[in-house]
Amino acid sequence: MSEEKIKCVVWDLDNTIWEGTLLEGGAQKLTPGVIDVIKGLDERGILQSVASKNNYDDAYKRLCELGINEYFLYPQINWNPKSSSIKEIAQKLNIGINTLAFVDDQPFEREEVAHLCPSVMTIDSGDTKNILSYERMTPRFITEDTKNRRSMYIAAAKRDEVEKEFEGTSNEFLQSLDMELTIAPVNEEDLQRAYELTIRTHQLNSTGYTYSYDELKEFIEDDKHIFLIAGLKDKFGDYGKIGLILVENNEDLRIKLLLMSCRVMSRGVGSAMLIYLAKLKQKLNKRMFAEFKTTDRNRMMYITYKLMGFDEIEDNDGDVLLEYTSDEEKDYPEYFKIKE
Amino acid sequence: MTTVEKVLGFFKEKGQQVNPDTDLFKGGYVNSLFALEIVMYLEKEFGIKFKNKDITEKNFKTVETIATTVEKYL
Repeated sequence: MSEEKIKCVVWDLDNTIWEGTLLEGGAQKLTPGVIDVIKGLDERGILQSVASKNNYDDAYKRLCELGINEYFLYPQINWNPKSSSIKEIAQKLNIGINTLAFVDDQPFEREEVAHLCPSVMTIDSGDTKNILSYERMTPRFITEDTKNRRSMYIAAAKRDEVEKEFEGTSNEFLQSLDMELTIAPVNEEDLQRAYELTIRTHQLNSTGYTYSYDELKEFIEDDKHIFLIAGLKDKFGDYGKIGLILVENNEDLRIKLLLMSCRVMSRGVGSAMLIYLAKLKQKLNKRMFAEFKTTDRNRMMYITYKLMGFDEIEDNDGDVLLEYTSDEEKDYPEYFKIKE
Repeated sequence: MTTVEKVLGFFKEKGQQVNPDTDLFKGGYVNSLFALEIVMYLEKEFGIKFKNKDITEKNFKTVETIATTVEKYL
């Protein structure tokens, strides 16, 4: 398998982002050229963070003075090993650690990270100017959602903070978000994002099938396919387009693909999409099947199907076929406003 | 603590009042979020891993049926 694209670049500060060492009176200006790389990555939707051994308040203040603080999500400025800072960042962003890259001038730090997080790409800060031309830093597409990715994560961080301090039950919290879920046919402007979702989503993906851009385009026009995209908004902002459904519509309905972005894992989007399909099944009065390909990462999708009323009817070495057999009347979770 | 009491603990944490025989599907308690959370909670709490065939709507219909399913593993 080819290596996954980088989703987040983690920067060292001293002698990497800025010249010299903050504690020794350095850090007066940015390393030449670094700002172009930071802005370039940001435009490509690649997130950025910091792993630096410094005093948090002093170093963060300097980032603000240099006018670049807003580029970095969950900056880790502390005296912990950088490998643990990197793990923390991956966890906070909820992305696979193998999609992180780490830039540092010191071989010791790069080796420490390479040793404890071998799937992280390490980069000598001397090579900063070439980062934008790395293949793994070049997304296949730039979509509306790519460009807004950083602000979506910032909204998510705010949301997390409010959730932590929220006094009440988790349902009351969901209720308080004023979520609006849209499920609608994919149109041409959505295609690149739809494609991006199929290749970026691994955990919450029922089959992992990928299709070329042109194949996806055909599904829009072809009446043998039902091809839907879901978007989510709440009072903190837009999550963008976060879910995709592809159903073959022949004598029976056959769900080829059901996926959603990890960012909405704890929002119950999966059930809403399945309830949408259950209602559709009822309207069309057809049997409904779902294909499922077992991987070591997508068990949650299996559980979602099973507890939303699907029965397993076949399992050939992890290639599972499920059928919707529930006769329970299901309704959307009350904390969603659904727009179809 | 009995298995039923431990399962009820999950709902208490979520701030939901249910009885051992409340139909979780009818009451609107079940959504995929709930489904995932309860499976993860039970597996952690009891140190078990459900087999695929036991993850069914029927087994997760009430706190009682959930407890019975869990007990098969204990």
